[in-house]
Amino acid sequence: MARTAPPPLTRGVGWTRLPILLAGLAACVLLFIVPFLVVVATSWTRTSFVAFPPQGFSLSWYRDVLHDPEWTDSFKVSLRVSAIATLIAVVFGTLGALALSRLRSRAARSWLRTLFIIPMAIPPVAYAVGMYSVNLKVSAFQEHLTLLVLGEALLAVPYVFVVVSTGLSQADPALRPAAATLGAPWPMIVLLVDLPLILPQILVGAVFAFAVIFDEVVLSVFLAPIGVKTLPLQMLNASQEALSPQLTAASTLISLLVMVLLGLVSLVSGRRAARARAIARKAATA
Amino acid sequence: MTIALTIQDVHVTLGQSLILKGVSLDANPGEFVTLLGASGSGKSTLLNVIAGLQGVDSGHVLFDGVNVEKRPPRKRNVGVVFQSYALFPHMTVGENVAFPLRAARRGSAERKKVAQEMLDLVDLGSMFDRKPVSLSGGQRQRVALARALAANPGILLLDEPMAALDKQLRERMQVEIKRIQQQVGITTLAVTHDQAEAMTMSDRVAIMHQGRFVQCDRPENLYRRPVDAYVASFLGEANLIEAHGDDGRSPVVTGTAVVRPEDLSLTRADAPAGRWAFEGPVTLLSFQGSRYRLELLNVNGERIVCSLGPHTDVSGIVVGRHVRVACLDPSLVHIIDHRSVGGAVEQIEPVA
Amino acid sequence: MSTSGAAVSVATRARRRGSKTFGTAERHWLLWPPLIFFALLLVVPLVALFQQALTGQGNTFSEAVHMDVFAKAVERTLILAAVVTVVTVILGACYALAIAVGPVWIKVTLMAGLLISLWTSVMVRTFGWMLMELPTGALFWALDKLQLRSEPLNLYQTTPGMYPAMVAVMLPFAVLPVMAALSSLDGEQVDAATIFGAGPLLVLRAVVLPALRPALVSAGVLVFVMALGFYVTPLLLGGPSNMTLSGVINAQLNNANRADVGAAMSIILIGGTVVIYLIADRLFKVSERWG
Repeated sequence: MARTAPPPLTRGVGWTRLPILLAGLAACVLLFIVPFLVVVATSWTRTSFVAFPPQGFSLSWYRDVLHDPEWTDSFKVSLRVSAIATLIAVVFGTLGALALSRLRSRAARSWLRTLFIIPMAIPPVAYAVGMYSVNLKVSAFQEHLTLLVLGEALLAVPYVFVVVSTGLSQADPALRPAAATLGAPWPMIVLLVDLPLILPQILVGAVFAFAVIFDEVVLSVFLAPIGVKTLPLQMLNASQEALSPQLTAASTLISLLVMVLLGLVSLVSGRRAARARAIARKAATA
Repeated sequence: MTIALTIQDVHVTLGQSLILKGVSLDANPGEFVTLLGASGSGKSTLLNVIAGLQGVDSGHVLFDGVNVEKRPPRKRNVGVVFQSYALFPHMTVGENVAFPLRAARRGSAERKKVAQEMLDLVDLGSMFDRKPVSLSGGQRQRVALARALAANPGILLLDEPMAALDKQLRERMQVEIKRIQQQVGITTLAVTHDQAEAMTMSDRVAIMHQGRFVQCDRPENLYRRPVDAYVASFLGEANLIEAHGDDGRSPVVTGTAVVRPEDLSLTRADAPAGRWAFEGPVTLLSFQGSRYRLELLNVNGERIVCSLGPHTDVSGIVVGRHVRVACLDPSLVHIIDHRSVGGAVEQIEPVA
Repeated sequence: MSTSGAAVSVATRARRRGSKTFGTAERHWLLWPPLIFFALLLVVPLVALFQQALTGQGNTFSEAVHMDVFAKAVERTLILAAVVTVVTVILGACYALAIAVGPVWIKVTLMAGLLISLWTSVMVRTFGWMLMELPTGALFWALDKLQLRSEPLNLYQTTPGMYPAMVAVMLPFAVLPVMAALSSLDGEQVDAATIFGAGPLLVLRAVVLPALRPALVSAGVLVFVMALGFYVTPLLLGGPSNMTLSGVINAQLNNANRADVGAAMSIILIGGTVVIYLIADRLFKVSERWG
């Protein structure tokens, strides 16, 4: 049996493959994997301070974090803030993507796209200072998380918008005209044609948005009410005090949690996509 | 509830370019009219105008004499089969076909019943619960047709219905669509760039070129009596031969003769030469299954194409040898572009 | 280039199918809620910033501009952002190419690394670098084991110390678009170039890079703009004496208690990044590649 030929790109890059592979592998190991393993490893230590290499092995710091209300409360606050802000971001990001798909003027489309990406370009600190100024003026906001949630939602809207409008642009452009000629009014088209089609993208956008918001610390620094901390804020504060293994234990726990959850999500959606592909293949050959 | 369609002097501009430049058409109830033209001729735009997917700059669209150009697509009661079929991928075949009834807020029992009837009509009764992705191209097309007909529309619009099918399936579906159209008796307007498809399915074919109708007639008339060189060479192959007539009176008639390749046959060199005989060296001879294709250069340097029957004796004919071909029935020759007054077309003959 | 061409043709087709007879009510209902949301959440804080900046004595803008720390921070931030952008884009291209052309074990490792970095928070990734760079941290441990260095490192809380962590945080933003561009690269073009006798360098320069250029440019713009406003990494790794713009603004509010000057600086920073983004967007159509 003949050896299968290498794919075109592999053949094309020839000897430059080796330096490319080395650069990629070095970047991956040094920038991504090693720092993460260091965080994980330091959380095993028996010492009361962060040490590398870890001294001995124990899981006591994990138990400690899970029973410390400072950490568990901030986790709950983060969950609540992220959930509400994600919901808002998904609604407005999806509406924006739907509006984009219905605009015909090239200039209007281009401006709408730019507007929806802009929150990614705005420095969070400067935006946070602005929100902080609003907070000073309107005392009604100071006690609760409203401004924080709204600000986080704004920062996450671009992610939803990008993913959903990519999904919309991949759909057959004749579907909406088809529904219109079949007698459907526009809300029905949105509900029965657009939304079911982009549901996977909406979910992916929501996961993205949730991750961004859950991770975001700058707005919390300026907008969290006194005594209320989000998880990243709690981490930031902990990192600026004496480095306790509590911090790395909490970091490890939250990272593992996210990896397990997202791993499951992508496993399920990957299996679904594979099944859809298999059906399509069968139909094509039938 | 089929309708008569009238289009009056429709103009459409898209961006900077004029796509439709004054198109008019009358289609009788139950008639099958095909818009035939190259891409960019404006045929799809005209279809979109009728469906309400494209507004007009000026002109009118009338359904049974009622102006509809202000009506949105969903209130026009048209059935459209899109080029991509535009089946909703997340709905089952049955849900797709029932969609227009759902839009009209009919009850679920009626939706199911009608969808089943429509699927039976297109021979896909057993596919009700399948998803479109699991169907073949021809099945998808039939589902799209069933969906377009489900709400009992006044007019059926087919946008390049065969474009996504392979050649064999295309020929089968042309007959199938014609059968269903006749069974339902619905006024139908189709768009295609495939002349064979247009001629097979239609009662009338409208040839479009650069935003205008060039000619609209029954397929055999289009073929036998094209109005100009564009139509003559767009529909089938044609030898366009410069010709003049001189019957002794003035003025002299000049024009172009359309001689179809299949109307020419080999004649012996010593046979009396008719008016429509051409002689010259053979440049190509090829066997094409049901016909022979023979090309020669006549004395004027014009390339003459002949299509000879499969039982023609071609032994001895090689490239470079002189042969004579002739159209033995002069009534088959059609003269276009004749510029004259009073000259008799029957007297016209090729420029020697 | 070919992908953007296809996108344009799809868009024009969609527009041709759309029509003047589609209702405007539809557009209004879909467009206005997000626009109002944006207007409120972008304009109101901006107005508040201006008000805040104007409450101070004198011209807070000129005060901010003439501050020594501010000028130094601007310089430091720009250099940092530029270097990080260049390094990130080059590494990102190598990373994505390595995933495309590597043997299976490299593909798996690189994908795993990418997922780790995507799925762990910026905070945790920065901690990782902190623990690496501490005077007696992991880096020192490794160098010590290799007998390359015996006295503690002084990388932590210095300007160079910020670079690897910033690149690590930004790298996924460069890898993902390049991966997308590579997946739509026409293999037959590469084969054609190879068959016509092009060596690896010419293939990369004449076929692969042109196909990746839009992705590289839009990734670069995004990384640059985000790097200008970075907060956490400089704060944890740069320390108080190497502050970037974000750090200076933070210090104005929390340490110097000059919210007015901080607001003025914020306006300058927002103005700068947004102008840079808008120019880059018009020049390179960055939003169209993301949206």
